[in-house]
Amino acid sequence: MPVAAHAASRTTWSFLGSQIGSEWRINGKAKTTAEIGGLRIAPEEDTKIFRETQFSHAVDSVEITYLSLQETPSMLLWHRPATPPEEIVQLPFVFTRTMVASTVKLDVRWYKEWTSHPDTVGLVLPKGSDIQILQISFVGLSPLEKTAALLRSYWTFDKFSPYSVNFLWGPILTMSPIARESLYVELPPHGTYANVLWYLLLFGIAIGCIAWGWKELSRRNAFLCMAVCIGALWLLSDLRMGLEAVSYARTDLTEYWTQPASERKFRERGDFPVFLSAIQPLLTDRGRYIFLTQFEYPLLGLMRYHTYPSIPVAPEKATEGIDTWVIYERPEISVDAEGRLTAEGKPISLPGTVLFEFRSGAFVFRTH
Amino acid sequence: MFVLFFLIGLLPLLLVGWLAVRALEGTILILSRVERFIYAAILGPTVLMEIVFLLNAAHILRLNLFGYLTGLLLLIIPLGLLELRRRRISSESSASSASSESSSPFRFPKNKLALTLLIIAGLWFLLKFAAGMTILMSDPAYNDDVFNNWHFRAKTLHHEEMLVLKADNPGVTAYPPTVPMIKVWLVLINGEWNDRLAALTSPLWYLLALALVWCTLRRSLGRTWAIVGTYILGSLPLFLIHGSTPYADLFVALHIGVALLPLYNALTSNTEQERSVWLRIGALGTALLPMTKNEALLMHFPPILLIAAAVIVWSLLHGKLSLRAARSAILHYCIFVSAVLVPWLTYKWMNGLPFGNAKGISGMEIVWQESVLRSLFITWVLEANFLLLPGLLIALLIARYRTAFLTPAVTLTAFVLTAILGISMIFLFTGLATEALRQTGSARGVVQLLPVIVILVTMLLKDAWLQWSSAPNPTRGEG
Repeated sequence: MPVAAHAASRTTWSFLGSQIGSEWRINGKAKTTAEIGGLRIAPEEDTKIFRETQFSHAVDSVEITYLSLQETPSMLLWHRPATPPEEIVQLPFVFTRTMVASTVKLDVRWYKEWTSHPDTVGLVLPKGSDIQILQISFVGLSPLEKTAALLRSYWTFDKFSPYSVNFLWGPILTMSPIARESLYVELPPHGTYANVLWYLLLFGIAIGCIAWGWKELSRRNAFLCMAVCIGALWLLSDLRMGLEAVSYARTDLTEYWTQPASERKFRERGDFPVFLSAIQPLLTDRGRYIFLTQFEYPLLGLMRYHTYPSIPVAPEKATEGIDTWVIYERPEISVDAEGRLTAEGKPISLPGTVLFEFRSGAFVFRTH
Repeated sequence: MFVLFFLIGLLPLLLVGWLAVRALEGTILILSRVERFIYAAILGPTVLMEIVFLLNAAHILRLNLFGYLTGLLLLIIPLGLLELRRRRISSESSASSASSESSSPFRFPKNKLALTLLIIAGLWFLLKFAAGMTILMSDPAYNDDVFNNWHFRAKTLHHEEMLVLKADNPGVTAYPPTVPMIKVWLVLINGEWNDRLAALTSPLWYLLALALVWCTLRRSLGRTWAIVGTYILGSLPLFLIHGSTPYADLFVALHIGVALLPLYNALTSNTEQERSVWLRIGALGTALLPMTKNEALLMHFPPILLIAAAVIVWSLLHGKLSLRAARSAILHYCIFVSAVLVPWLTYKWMNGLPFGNAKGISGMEIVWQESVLRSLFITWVLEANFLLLPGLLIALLIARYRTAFLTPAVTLTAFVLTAILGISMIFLFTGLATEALRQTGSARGVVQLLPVIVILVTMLLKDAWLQWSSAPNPTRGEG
């Protein structure tokens, strides 16, 4: 089989070197500049940029390489052949802020509205955005690539999360490398539960075994065949999920246990445990204190638990003689020249001193 | 160091449980040493906490070391005297206690392949257990129900030395205080609050659940199938996660086990005396079940009580129990259940504590909830929480329905089906549907049933194996 048969098919529309084809159409008022580094678009109102097309291969994913100084919500749009012209499908996605050329990859095959051969493709950019598009690629995967992605997806593990005590996604099968890369990051995961495949397989084998074992003479072999299949799938599933548990532990060991105390990161909570253990001695004798954070859940409950019998209260209670303020992940809160805590320039406390500073927006403050 | 204090703290609880089980056995010692140890480790802590709870709720003693030690003495002295009396009687009459100590030690298989497989399975289990312990020890208070409920309540009780009722959060404080109180006892032995020590109860319960499954299957099916069943339970991912998380679902699972499995054992026992002992143990297990979690009272306690009644009536009708023995069994159930339930329900009623799992059940509207059935199917069958166990259970219940419904295994079948039906109905028809849709409660409900489900599945597997693997082979066919 030729090598090309194994490789992905790819159609790329490049905007580099000031190249913009006449096939592109723009709906909306936007400042567009064809630059050496790509097409720069700065819409003054919500703007659509699109073109008609005819792909020579099936398209499984779309990759857009871009630069953007701000996070920009956008939409990919396409039209399916043989549907009314006004029936345009829109897929929302986000261009994250980036100073260097980045690529956003869209697993369009996941959406049932997608067609492998759209006849029109484009983007919707919101008013006020300013984005530079370098190129747009349409990727079609070969059977081999799909199989490789499928096998790798089975052995891709979730991270230990607060939901893990309630349920475990387990292995999710996907033939898209993009979906595999973001399995368990985008939830629910894009793919099919492996158990669907296993149950279908076992059901088929069971039917076969029943047919085979219908004659009494082969009943034993049919049963043994069924038992071996169930046993093999069970062992495989146990191995898969056991290794996932080991991967949870390995992450904790490498990111938490083996790191110096000041550099520890704990799962999705980052350095909050380090901050917490550092400030605990400052709170144990206070009875009540004020705790301000942008992540009230779960941090408020954690503070309440770990500092008990001292308990966190709302800032309104400051007038009741509470002198200690704990600030975490509130960069807009700082101490002004008069020694008061201020939020966006407005004073929120009496003058005091910072007892402990973890970093900007994370500190303990006590009023005089 | 905290592990040492944990183990020291466990010893008196074990002693209480051991004496209680001995007392229930009377002069007929039918449990093996391992079985007695396991039943003691499950029942002992709950029995002690029940006494300490009563003393504290009555404002007689505080939840401090003195309070707990008093509770211990109140149990150990009478139970110890009973044990001494039993020993005196058995030494005088040299009764048949030796024959009933059927604790044949575990022997490794002689077959090299079997031994190798067993060692690999053991190492694999140890690796997973070590992973679980690492997850647990990284931060025991990681999950919501730990820092908002189980450990927070324990910390509150430890600090206040009294049962604390929070008017602003009655759902959580309405839970039975047993689990937090066990943690308080262990922390008192340690001298100060320690998150990691308090969390060690979960791996203990995990190991006890495996041991309970092992012992039950060893007794009824033999060593090979006990290994199979224990492996099945040890391979279930969500069960391992709960062995590594300080929640209370494994605690409920264990108490379901010690309430229900004695009923199965009673039906398979050979003599009336043995049956009576199992029924007495089952009576204590059933009585303590409502003290684990709220849903145990509403979901698990009624069917187990009904199954117990059915077992006693069936045994009576089939001449397996005399009228006197049946009356004694009923009396034990009545006394134990009343002794635990009446004070607990009175306490709840007096303090206006709701029933239900963190949410009150009064005033719930019965309405069909969209999408819940699909969500339950995904959680129970398609996700990896229980590997292929749900499919295997359904297939075996259909293929081996005679064994499942017409043998003593019916005690387990009836309970499992009733419990799953009950959980499904609650999610399908009440406002608790959100817990199924958000998957916060539906899989955990099944975690509580897993030891019983695994025992049932293993029984049916053996039955299928014996039935079909002995069928004629074409190469060695008859004729």
